[in-house]
Amino acid sequence: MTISVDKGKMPIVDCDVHPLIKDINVLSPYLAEPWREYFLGGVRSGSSNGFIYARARDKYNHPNTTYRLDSLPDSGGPAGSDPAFTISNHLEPYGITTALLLPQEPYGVARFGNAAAAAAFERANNEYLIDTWLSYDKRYTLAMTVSSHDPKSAAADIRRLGKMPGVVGVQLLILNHMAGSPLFDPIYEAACEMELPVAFHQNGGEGCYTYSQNPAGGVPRSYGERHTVLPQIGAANIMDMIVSGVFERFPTLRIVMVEWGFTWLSWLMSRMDHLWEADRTASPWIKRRPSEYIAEHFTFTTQPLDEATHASEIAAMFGIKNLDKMLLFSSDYPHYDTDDPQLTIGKIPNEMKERVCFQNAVDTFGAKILRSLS
Amino acid sequence: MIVDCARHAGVKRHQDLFDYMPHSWQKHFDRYEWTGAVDLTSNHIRVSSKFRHDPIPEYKPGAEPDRMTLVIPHQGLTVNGWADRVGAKVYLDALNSYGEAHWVSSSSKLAMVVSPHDPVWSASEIRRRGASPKIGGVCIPLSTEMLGTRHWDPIYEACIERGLPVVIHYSGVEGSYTGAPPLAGSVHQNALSRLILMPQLAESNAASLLFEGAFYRFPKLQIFFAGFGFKWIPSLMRRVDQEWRNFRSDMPWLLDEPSKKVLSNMWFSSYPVGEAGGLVAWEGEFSAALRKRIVFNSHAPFGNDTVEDVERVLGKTWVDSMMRNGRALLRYKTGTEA
Repeated sequence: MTISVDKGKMPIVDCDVHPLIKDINVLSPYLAEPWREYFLGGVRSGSSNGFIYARARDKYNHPNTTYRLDSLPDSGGPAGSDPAFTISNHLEPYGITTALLLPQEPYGVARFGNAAAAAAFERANNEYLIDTWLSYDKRYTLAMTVSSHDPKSAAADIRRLGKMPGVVGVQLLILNHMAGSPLFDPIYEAACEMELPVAFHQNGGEGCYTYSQNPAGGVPRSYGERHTVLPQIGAANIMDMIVSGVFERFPTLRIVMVEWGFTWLSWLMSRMDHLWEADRTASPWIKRRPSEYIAEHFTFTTQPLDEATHASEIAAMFGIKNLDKMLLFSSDYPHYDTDDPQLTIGKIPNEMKERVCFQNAVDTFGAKILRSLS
Repeated sequence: MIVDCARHAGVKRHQDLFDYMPHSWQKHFDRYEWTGAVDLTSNHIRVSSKFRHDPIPEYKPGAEPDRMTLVIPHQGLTVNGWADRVGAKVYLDALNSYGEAHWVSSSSKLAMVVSPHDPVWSASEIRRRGASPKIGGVCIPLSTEMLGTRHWDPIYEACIERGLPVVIHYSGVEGSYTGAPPLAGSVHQNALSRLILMPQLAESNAASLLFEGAFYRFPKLQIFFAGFGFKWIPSLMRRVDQEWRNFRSDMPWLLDEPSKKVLSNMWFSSYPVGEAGGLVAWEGEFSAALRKRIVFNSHAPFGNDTVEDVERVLGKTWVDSMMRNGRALLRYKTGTEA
């Protein structure tokens, strides 16, 4: 679908904005017993929302704060917890037409061993955000969160909430299983049925637990070293989905890779094609060049944009084959490494700007991603 | 002159190593399951389903005045998946001795393999063998101990003392055998996935070397990532510098952008050059300084890129540069160039 826009009024879809909850107690109306007592009683409620956190902060402590200090709302609560403040602090100053909300607290579910608790928390969080953010302003859209603890339950939730106004995608948490596993099939099936793309975002637990996915090689020493190699996990899951034939099983499935970077596609796509062509029997499920699956089924967000210094380097970064149709703008507001929208958009080649700022988002999520314009 | 900075050689039979072991260890290794496992150690990328190689031809170097080759005894790299770390040292000692006897010529040198599990023993082996002109490098099989940690300092110290580059190449059991390093993610579907993702092992260990300040401790240390390709480097260089800028207070021992050490202390190789097509689209990411760190390797007999292959994909300018770089890496003297 092609959207025509007036010059100077180009819509901007920010595909990575994180909403948080003010306090765990706001989820109370959305939790049935025994989960209300489970989450709100005892030691958990005493630690505010800090327990809902995937990264093992005693293993990899952030050297500063994980959020921008200027994104703390005047009304109190953590950064990203006030829909009005997010509009005045981020959307309006930069002319953001749509913010795709990727809820952050559910990332903590990645370390839950209890599948039923995981589902209860995800449901409560999704319903809270639908009621308080999507109904607050049409500039907000939501990627509802599910995890693979219980794929059938996740699929049921996708079918239940997938047509709610403003729900435009599914945020699927990466746990220990690779994304190509048949375990995910019920989730992919439901997402395709509801015409919702699946978004993968780092949950923070990567490299932390015996049951989480890890970067290659071993244990990075510091937060920065670990953060350097986190994109490997995104790349590995892409590879796994292609090798295991996910897109042969689900030809309409769309995947949005959020905050994994994109410049590594340059080597990954050419390497997978070259090695597959050297032995086409290596995977019986690959029917065509692996990079074609990427171009057809995947999109990638801009943040964190590589800080290249030379024009030739920037041209090469954006010169990756088919990138003009795969790239989505994102800021990662309100995190410490938010990319300034003006700076990012300024670096995108002119001929790609419309596609990156909104057209690719429309192709991926449908026209409903621009719900504030309708 | 063709400078091939990484080709492979292996024994056809494990029994061929017995002459290079003490008698008691011959008796230890003379068992059906070990001698029969030569096909496993010879498979360059260990398979779980498909993707395998035919038995490799024997490497017999001759005197080739127009060629210099660094030979990796790839079977030795597989000790990174061995359970018996004591036996592994005996095996490596025998393999290195066999390699010195059979794979070295006036135009080829051996990259001796050391144990990742015992750096002190490895350092003594480097000092013992490394003075010989037969030795051109030191292969460290990858372990879960990242290369930037102080675990490796005895090995690095010995390499510098002997003027030898460290050579890093995957064994093929990574992401497959317990004890060997994992690949990114979790359990992979098949060998094609694993082979495609191998460069991430180099990425992680390069990041470790840079962030742990290994090149501040050992300014002369040279690390050669062989067989991982090279297109992944610019993305990593930008990323490490961004992390350093974000978190300088977290790593005060790093005095400058980490990527600068890539340009002074790391080397990368061309294989598989077929993945580097479309030069015009990506060449802008490679500064002149970075191009000086990329050498030619054939990877023979696995894949076996030729110089003609490289020229067809990258052009003659890149080939000439790679040969110059290879001479610098291997410290061969050719003509007036030292």
